[in-house]
Amino acid sequence: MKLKKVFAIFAVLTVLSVLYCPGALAAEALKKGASGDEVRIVQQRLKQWDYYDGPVDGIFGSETEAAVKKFQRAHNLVADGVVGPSTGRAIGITISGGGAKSPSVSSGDTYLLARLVYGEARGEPYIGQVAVAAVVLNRVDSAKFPNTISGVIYQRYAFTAVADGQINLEPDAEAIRAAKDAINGWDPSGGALYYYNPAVATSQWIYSRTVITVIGRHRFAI
Amino acid sequence: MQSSQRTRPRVNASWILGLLLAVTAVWGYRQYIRAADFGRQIDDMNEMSYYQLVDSMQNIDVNLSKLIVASAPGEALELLSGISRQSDFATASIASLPSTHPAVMDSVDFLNTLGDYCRALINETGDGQVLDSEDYNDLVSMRDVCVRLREVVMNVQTGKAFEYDGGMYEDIPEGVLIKAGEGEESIEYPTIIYDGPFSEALDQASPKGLVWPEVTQEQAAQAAAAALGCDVSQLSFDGEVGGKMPGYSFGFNNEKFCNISRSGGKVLWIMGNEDCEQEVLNETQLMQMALDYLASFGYSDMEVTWSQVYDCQMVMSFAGKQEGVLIYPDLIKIKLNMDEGNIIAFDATGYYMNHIDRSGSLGAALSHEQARDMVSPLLEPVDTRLCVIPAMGLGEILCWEFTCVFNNETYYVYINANTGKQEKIYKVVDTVDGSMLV
Repeated sequence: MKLKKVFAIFAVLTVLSVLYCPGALAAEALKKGASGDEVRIVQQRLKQWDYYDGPVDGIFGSETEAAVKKFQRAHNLVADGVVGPSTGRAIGITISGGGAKSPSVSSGDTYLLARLVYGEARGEPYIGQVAVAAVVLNRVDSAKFPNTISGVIYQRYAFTAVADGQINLEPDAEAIRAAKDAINGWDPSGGALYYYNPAVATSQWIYSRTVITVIGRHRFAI
Repeated sequence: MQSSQRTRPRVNASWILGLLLAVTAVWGYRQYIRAADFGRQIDDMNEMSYYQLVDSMQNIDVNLSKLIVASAPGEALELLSGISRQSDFATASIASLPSTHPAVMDSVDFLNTLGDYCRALINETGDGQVLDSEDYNDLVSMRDVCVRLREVVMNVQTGKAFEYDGGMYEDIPEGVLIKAGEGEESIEYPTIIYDGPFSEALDQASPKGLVWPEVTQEQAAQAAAAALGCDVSQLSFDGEVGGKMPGYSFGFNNEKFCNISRSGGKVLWIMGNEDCEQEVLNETQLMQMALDYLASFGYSDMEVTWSQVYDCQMVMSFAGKQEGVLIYPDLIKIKLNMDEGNIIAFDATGYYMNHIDRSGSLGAALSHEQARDMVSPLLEPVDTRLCVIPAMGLGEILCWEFTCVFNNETYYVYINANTGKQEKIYKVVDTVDGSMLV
């Protein structure tokens, strides 16, 4: 009897684990070749706003794609012709994020920076969040690092939030504001190029850097 | 009968077990295939970055050696721009390789500086100057480094170097992957003296505007209380601050924070995070409030140069003035809530980095009519004024600023007020967050 129970539990677990395939939960972005009611809504809205003049037939064809691109360009989104979460938001329909696996859909550097701030420093005091964003911008200006925001953020092993995927979380309003304040020139880190949390950092190298200031749990260093 | 009843469930159990094992095996195999596939894709990307790096290093080496022997200015310009472009590619490739920042920062630093130095030389040769013997000495020493760096890159064993081996700054992986100078004699990087954004001189620049005697923490607390609008007893002291502008950090109520400089007890920045619900005040009213605020801190001659509105908050930039000339490097930023006009944030670090008495350097050799001839004939200036703008490195340039409209777009053109050289063009670009200068 006991053995049977073990089997039963094992069976349930196995079936569940087979059913749970992360790929199946991926973002349901609308793109060329898609069809259905969601496509119909997108076409309707784009037609209302004069981006699209084809038929509202629920089929995502080249004309719809061109209209989406036009809309994206007009709204400072990446003009890839795909209705992902951000374009969906701008059009006014909800696209299931599915763990927000599509970092290609973003509205530029501010949003990317905000995602990093949220992934790395949510829960920190507001100035700590601005300081994290400022470190990224200080790196862009430094010769020792890549010369673009995306280059700095996606540099290998540079940020924990990039490696563990937390950068793909939807940033909150505070993180977006912190990113904007840093882009506008505020730098509570005092020109820092590094920060670390002494409670978890184990690298000897990072401790060798000169600390400029401490904000919340982070030490900011150069 | 009894015995067959007992055996039947046993058969069923092993059936189920067998089925489950088969399902698990299929699932496990699929996962394995997927993981192997992802692993290969990562390896491929690493290999691509590696070979791009090798190509860039080769191109830089070839261009540098040609540049040293080139005699025609046009040829030199082309080679210089090739090097600066290739050094950008090289640093981008290094950044996408599985190497840690401490291992590669010196080589990235060198390549960025090389590209930057070449851009500075392009600027000089564009002015009609030819490369002098000092430039050539620098180029020769930089080429020596390039040759050795290239050898290191070529000798990296691809298989070993690009194994995916997770880890952060907080836990740098064992056996650092790519390391300049590994197994070779360590590379000595030359110090090149030139004017550019990556030049060492800029790294070491100290704030020109902070030249007062030091204040104590108690004196700084007085300034902080005035800045945050509270009593000294309500302040929290959050520690001393190092870096280029050493000072003291204070907070009020865990909501608003500021840094006070040790030199002179000046308010370097204030930062808070208040929400704003409704835009009540207009931009003219807010601008006046900001100017009054500046005057209360003794900044009496300031002019607003740029503004942006987001989240019901307005950010304004102010530039200082001297003898009627607008001084862009003396920059102060203020952020206000648009409901009651509270000052949310303030930043004078730019001001103190650059502020000096500029008496005697604000006389223009060229009249604005003479400078007007240097502006493109396509543009029709609608406004003109004399101003000081920051140069590429540490310096400043006195310029005539021409505000022009072309094709319904606004441009700012800066003509050197002494030489007539066109120094800079800015264009106003409208974004979702308001207008931006690019």
